[in-house]
Amino acid sequence: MAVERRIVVQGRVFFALLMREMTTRFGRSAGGYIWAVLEPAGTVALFVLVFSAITRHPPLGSSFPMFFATGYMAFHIYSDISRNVSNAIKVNRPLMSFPRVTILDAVLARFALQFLTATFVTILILSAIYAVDDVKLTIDFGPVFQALLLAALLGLGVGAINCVLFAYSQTWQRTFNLINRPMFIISGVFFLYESLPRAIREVIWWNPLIHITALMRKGFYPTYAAEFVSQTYVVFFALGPLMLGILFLRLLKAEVLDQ
Amino acid sequence: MIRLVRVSKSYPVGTGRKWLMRDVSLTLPRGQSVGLIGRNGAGKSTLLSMIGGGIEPDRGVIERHANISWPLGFGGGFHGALTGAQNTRFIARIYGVDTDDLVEKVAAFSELGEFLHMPVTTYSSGMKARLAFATSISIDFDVYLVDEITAVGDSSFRRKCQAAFAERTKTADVIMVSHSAGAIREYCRAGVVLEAGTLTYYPDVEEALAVHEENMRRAVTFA
Repeated sequence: MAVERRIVVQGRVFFALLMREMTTRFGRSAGGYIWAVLEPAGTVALFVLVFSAITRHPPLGSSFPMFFATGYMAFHIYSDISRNVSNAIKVNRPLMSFPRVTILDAVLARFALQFLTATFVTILILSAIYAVDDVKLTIDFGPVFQALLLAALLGLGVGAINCVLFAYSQTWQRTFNLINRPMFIISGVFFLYESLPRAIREVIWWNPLIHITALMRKGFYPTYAAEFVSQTYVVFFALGPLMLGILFLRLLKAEVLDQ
Repeated sequence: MIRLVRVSKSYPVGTGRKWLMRDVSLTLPRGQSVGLIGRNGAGKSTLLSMIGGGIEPDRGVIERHANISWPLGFGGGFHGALTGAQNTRFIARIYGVDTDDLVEKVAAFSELGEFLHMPVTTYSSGMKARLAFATSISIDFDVYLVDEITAVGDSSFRRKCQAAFAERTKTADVIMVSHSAGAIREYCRAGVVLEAGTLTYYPDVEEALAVHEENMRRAVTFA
C-alpha cells in the first residue's frame, strides 16, 4: 500500500473510532454528557463544603470553589485520560477482527475523545464558578496550557503502558488501582506544595501531578510563583511509559491480542 | 495478491507450544479462489484469520495487496450497545464507502426492518447473522474470507444469500475453509493443504483434495 493511501485509511479508521466511541460513551442517553460534567463538578462541590467548614480562607485567593477546581480539574484530565486509555484493548478487542483497525488506533481515538471531553468540562466548570462566585481573574494562559498538555501527556503515557499490562495481568490492574487511589490526596488538589514541611516536600516533588496542579494555579493566581515546578521532569516521566507502551504494542501485538 | 513471508504461528499447550505453522511462505495470486484444506486442528481457521488480520502471526509478514473482507457472516466486531445502522455506519467509515448508501443497501438486503435501529444486543443470533452477511456482501471486497458456509435464516433468505454471493464471486476471489469437499469444489479452483506445520499450494483443487485424502489415511502427526 502506498504511503498516502495508508494515511488516508488511518485517518478514516481514526475518525470512525472517534464517532463510535462518542456514541457508545455518551450517545446512549442524554445522561451520558451530563454525567461527564456532573461527576467532577460534584467532587469539587464536596471539597468546598468540607473545607469551608474547617477553614476560613483557601490557601490562595478568596474563592474555595476556584481553588479546588483549578487543582482538581488538572488532576481530572490526567486521571480521566489514563483510566479510559487503559481499557482501550479490553473494550475494543472484538474490533481487531476488522483487519484495518489496530490497537494503536483504538488507543489514540480514546485519548483524543477523552482529552477533548475533559478539556471542555474543565472550561465549563471554571467558567461557571467565575460567573457565579464573582471572583476577579487575570489568567495567564501560558502555564494553563502547559498544565493541560502535561496532564494529557501523562494520562496518555500511563494509559498506554497500562492497556498492555492490564491485558496480561488482573493482579497488576488491582495493584495499580490501589496505588493510584491516594494520588488524589498527594497531588496538591487540597493544598499548596509550599505549605508542606521540607521533609515531605522533598519526597512529594517526585510526584509529577503536583507539578501539574501547581502550573494550573500559577496561571490563575498571579501571586503564585510555583517556583519548584519542572516541566522537563513531567515530560520525561510521561514519555518513559508512553514509549514503552508503544514498543510493547508493536512487539507483543500477537501475544497481547491472544491474552 | 496475498503473500505470506516466513510466517510462524504457535499456541501454548500445557507447558510447551503447538506450532500450527513454522516459517512458511506462500503466495496467493489474484483471480484465483482458494480452498484451505487440512485435518481438524491443523490451523485452517487460524490461517484464515491471519490472512484477514484478525490474528497476528508470531513471526513473519503477511502482505495484502487487496481489499480483504472479514470472515463472511462473522458478527463478532459488532458493538452490542450500538444499533445495526450505527454498526453499519462504523464499518462504512473504516472501508471508506458512503455511510447512508451502505445503510440503505443493508436495510434492503437484511430485511431487518425496524430492528435495524435497535441495539444489536436485542438481536437473535439469526438477526445478527443477517446483519453481518448483509454488511459484508454490500461492500465491494476483492477477496472474501469464508470460514465454513453457514446457512442464515429461512430458505428464501438462504437462497438470496447464495445468489448474492454467487454474483459477488464473479469478480471477487474467495478464500475458504470447509470440511465439505463439495463446497470447496463449488467455489475454488486452487487449494492449499495444511499438514504438520507446512502449507502446500496446488493450482488444481482436485489435486489438493486428493493429497488431503491421502494424508487423512495416515496416522495423525502432531507438529
